[in-house]
Amino acid sequence: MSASVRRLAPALLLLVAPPVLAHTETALAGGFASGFLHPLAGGDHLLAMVAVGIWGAVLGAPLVWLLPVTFPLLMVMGAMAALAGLGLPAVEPGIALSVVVLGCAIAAFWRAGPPAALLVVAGFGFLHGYAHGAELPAAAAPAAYACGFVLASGMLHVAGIALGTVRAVPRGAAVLRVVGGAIAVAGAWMLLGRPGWA
Amino acid sequence: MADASMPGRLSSDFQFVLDGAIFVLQSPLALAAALVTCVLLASVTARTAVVRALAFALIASVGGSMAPSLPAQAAVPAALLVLGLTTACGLQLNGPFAGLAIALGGLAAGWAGGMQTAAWQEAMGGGVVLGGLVCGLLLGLLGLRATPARFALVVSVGRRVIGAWIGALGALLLALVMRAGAG
Repeated sequence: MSASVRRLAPALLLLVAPPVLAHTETALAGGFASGFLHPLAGGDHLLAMVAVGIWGAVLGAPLVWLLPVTFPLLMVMGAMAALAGLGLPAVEPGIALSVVVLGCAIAAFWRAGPPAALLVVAGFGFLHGYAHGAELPAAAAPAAYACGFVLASGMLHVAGIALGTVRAVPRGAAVLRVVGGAIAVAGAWMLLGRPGWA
Repeated sequence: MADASMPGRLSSDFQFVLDGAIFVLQSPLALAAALVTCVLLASVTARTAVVRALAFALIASVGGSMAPSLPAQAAVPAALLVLGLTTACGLQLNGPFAGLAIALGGLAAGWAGGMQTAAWQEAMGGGVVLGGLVCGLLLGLLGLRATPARFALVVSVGRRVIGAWIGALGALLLALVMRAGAG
């Protein structure tokens, strides 16, 4: 064994070793890491959050900040509705529909007025929040879960806005239209029950 | 003659300081309180940033040492809600209002540290970590003033988004606390 391999071996072993986490508040399933990964792991939430940011950037001021600010506030209301036990039909199809609508809005460069844009985002934000609120009571550490979730979702919104600024460069608008179309197609696939997905 | 147990006591004190720092680093709510306070403050000068960070650290230490005697479970989310919504409105505080925000954010961060024994060394450890974090963030935000115009939009909207999300987090946790209280 060469000297470099001998030096690297302990580091490689660290990569495959399971973590030993002494503080259960963040280590348990349903803690900070779980909440942080949730919006990143679920395609529907990820695409919707990024799409809200891109659409806001496409619409310009004041909606560029109004949309990403409205979305989380309505999400909280949705989560509270779920915590209160309010029944809501077709939540998952509604979330997939939100991806389709937001994707189409970007692809078509829909210049919606503030009331219409806010209504769309608020309605979908409520649905997303409802879905997460239903999962919260099962989380081992709801506060840590919510913090992780909030951090990841906020990052996705800002990433969407940053992506939306591509519009200012040559052919940037065309790139955004393609991105919007791809988001809408992904949403339609989710709406149809993800055919072909094992 | 030097006390024979002095090195042991110093080691024990240092362990407490380290414990306090680790408690705070493991508390997402304490980190959220520090973050939202930073984005709410208007960037002024590097010297002001350091003074503000020192004030935040001191208040967080005081908050950490009194945590067990306060209804922190509801107070921390309420503070996050107020600070978050103020940030989401696009306000950037200066002068006495900045002082109020530092006081509220520092207390919330200290309470959220979750220290059970609240020894002064632990409170100090938590305060040092939070002060360092706030100092780094405030200096980083000061540096962002030099960003190109295209990214200035992202920075400005990013502040509002962070505020909205942290405010929303506060509202959600407040609802959970009230639900637990009602149940």
